[in-house]
Amino acid sequence: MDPQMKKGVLDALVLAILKDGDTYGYQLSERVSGLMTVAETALYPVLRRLEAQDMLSTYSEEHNGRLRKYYSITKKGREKLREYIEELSELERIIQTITKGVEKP
Amino acid sequence: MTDTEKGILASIRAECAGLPEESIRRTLEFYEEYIADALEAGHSEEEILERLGGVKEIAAQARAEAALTGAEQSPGPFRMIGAGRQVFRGLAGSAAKFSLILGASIPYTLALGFYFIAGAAFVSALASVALMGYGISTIPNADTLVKVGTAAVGLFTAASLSAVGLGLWTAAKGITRVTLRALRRGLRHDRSVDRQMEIIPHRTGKLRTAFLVCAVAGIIGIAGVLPSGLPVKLFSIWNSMKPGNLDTRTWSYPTAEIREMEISTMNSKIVLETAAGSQDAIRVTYEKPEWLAGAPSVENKKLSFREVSSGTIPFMDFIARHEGTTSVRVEVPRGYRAKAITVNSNSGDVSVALTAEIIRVETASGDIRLEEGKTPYRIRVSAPHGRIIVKDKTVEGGSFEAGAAGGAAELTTDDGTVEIR
Repeated sequence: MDPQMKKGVLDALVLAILKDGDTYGYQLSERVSGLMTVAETALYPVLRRLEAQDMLSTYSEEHNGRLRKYYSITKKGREKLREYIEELSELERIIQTITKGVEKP
Repeated sequence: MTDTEKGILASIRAECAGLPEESIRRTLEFYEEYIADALEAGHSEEEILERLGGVKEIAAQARAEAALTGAEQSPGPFRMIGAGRQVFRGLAGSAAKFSLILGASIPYTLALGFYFIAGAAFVSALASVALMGYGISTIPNADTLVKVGTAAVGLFTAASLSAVGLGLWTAAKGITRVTLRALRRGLRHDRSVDRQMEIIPHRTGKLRTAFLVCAVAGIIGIAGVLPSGLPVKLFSIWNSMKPGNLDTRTWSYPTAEIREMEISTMNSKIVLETAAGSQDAIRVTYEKPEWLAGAPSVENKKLSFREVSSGTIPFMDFIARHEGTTSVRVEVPRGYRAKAITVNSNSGDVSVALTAEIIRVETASGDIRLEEGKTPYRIRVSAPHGRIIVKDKTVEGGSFEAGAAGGAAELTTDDGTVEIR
């Protein structure tokens, strides 16, 4: 996948994963890399920015004698995700048209 | 914490040196937890480092992010330059760097230009205050009204320039926001999310206060300067308008008392001529404006006249650059021939229509007119940036020499016109 496209959907992807439940950095990264190859250096700024914009909140829980930071989607984050979905469904229609065009020249 | 983890974190910390402590702490916190979880999951240090994309890149990203966030929170020239540099360095690959230059260089340069001009306006405002302070110090203590007027001119100028500077600075900040958005876009290679980027509210309260201060200072300036009448005087001098309240004075000297003359003016005209009537004395007439002073004196058969600023208007040397409308007129009886006449004016015109053994005329920008009459002069003219016209014909080359013995005339001007008839 084109790196520009990839980074464009990263914010939406993070919010979508968090919508299903709170999670911590490593797990989030595992889930993201299961879908696309992306360096963690790209993920961390996204998390910080989303937090700064109140799209997600954080809390800490103890795990094996150390603290683990959990990310949780906020109301504002959910609203934003809805906007992303709208934008992406438009993209989906375009993709469908493109693939149809390839199948039936 | 394992040694492996400590090793990776120490190198991240080392690479982050120079960043704000809070930013380092948060970066380390994230990676510390990430590395711990990854190690727990059974990955090796090399694997983790590879997945993290290298320590250097992490630091560069964090640095770019911190610089950009700082600049977005309070836009200014230095933060913008810093953010531009860090984002450029934080990008991996020349393609990303090239597209950043393409996207951000135009608003970046434009913003820098606006900052520069705004800065120049502020410096000019300070300079006008300093200049008027100096101007006030040159006015005699008795002239309180002129002092107040001068201070008011300074206040008005400084306020106007500051307002211009503020306006340009605000515009520059606006362009900086555009630049930062372009930088942010470059950092993320992403356009679609960018539109929703949080817009930092403009802090217009302070700016409004600053503009208000400038407006009030400007109004006080105008209110202070009008009663002194200074603007009218400055306007009339600058535009060579004849003042209404001229004080005309005349002095007479027997011809036997004067062999030499030396006359210098700031911008009044100097007229030297043979009297039309049948007078037998040398007569000096001075049309004196309020802001200039001068009176003839005689010593060792030499008549001296020197026009100076009367001190009622500051910066007279500067303002009197335009040709004046007042004059110093010296009329000699028919047949009188002075030994030497030296005439000097900054910007006043000089007209000579008498005979003398030696006559030297020098002006900076004033025109010189010499009427030879019946006694020819040996003439030498130098006008490097002016014009020379001899008997209605223009002479090229900036200098001219001619004539027979009888008298010597040396006419020098920088950019005035010399006419010989």
